Amino acid sequence: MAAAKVTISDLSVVFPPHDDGEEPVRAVDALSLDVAENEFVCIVGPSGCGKSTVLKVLAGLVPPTAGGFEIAPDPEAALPVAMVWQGDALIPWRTILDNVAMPLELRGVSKRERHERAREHLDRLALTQFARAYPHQLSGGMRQRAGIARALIADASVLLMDEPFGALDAQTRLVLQEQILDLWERERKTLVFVTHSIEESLLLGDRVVVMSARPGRIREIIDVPFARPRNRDVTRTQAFQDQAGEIWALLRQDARRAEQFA
Amino acid sequence: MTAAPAQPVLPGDQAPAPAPMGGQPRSSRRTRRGLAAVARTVIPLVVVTVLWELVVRAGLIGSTFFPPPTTILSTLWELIQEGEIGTELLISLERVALAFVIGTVPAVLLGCIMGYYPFFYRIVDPLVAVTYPVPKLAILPLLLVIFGLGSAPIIAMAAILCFYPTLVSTIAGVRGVDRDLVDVVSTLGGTKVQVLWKVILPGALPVMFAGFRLGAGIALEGEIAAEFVSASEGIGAKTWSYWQVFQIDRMYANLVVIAIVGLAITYLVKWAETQAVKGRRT
Repeated sequence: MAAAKVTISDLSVVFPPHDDGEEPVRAVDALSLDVAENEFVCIVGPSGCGKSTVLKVLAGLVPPTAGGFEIAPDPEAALPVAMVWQGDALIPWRTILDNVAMPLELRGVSKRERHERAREHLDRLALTQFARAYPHQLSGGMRQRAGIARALIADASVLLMDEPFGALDAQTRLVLQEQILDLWERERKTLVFVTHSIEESLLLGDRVVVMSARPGRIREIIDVPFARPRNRDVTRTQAFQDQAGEIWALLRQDARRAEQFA
Repeated sequence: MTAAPAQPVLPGDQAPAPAPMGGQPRSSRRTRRGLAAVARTVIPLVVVTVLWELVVRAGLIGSTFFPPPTTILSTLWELIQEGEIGTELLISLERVALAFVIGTVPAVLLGCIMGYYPFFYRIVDPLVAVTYPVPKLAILPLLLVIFGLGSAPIIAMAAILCFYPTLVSTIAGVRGVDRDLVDVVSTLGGTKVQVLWKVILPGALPVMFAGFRLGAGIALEGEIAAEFVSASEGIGAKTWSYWQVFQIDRMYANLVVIAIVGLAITYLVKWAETQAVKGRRT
């Protein structure tokens, strides 16, 4: 395995209670994880297991309560991390082009250059003709692709994706999964991908980190044995189904418990 | 295992291309609707004016207090030709514009801080809550003590009046901005100033404009009221003094001008709003 790109060590996150009398929420509990350079790691777990919180910590949005993390410095990358959000989080009053060009704009890249590069990224995600459209004029899948284009153009050392396909319909989801596989095949970025779909995690990841419900801990880390480049065909193999069944066995109890809480 | 296609064709892409904003038929329909709206405003106004004229001419109402509209308009024309209206109007407009800027800029700044940082909100909000309901016109004598005579106390009065609506709406607007968007810009390396400039201000703008509209109207109102008592120049001061010397037709002529200014300011802010939020979802 290549050198660790992301090192998470004994990370705990406790959220203070909103109201008096409420218990503080222990979202992540003593979690340690190494992500290798160019590795595609999926984190899967029941809702409320703190998997999104881990990403937010890596993005610098949530401070760790204890422990910490390190991202190996990369002199060639412009930023340590870039994030793809669960909701697309596009800016509604900007065109798709200006949304995608945003990371460059923040760095003071000239309008001409950033538009040119944003168009290249839109081409790669098959959004060329929607450059001048506003987010609300696009379908959910297209918006999410624009969100991915924005994260790619940021030229970050590590990509974080927080259930990027969670809000999409089933078919769009399948299409975007193949796109992500494709994209990763070409880019080989270090990618941490949070999902609640076991199948998605096995289809996409090099490793699958299975988390347990609150407090969020690592249940098991599974090395995904399927060869790359992959496509959807792998999901129909017996080995895939067996592997998915194993993960489901790990998650079943927690998922039921989470359902009862909700 | 088959290799994934290099550039898969996505079923979602056959979705309809975004319709161009406002096609031909829609825009002509919009013009017609606009004309209808103008007609709805103008026709009752004309009817009331004509009725007024007729009632006064028929001797049903004394023309001392209610001179017929034709008289008011000819007096207005005289005052315009003499140059009086223009001079006085400019003085008042300058005061209103200054007051609007002086009141609105700090309101936007403070509103952004209070809307974004709950800590500041908790500290400053009680002060706002206590001073907001106080009738601000009541402190005009105090402003006269502080600023003396002249334009300064009038501008201060109007500025204080228009400060509040903008402050309240800026706080609401900033609080309503999607926090995810703030996080997006800050994770992409955006500075605090960039977050403010690219997300918070544009995100809060539509709500802030509600405050600008109210504030502009209230600034004019306060300016006129302050001119009544403490100025010898300006359109409000003239209205007041023509009442005092009982030149009722001239008083009415000035009132007409004030009404037009009020309308013009409202439409100006509305126009600015449509320019500022162009292309957004309505």
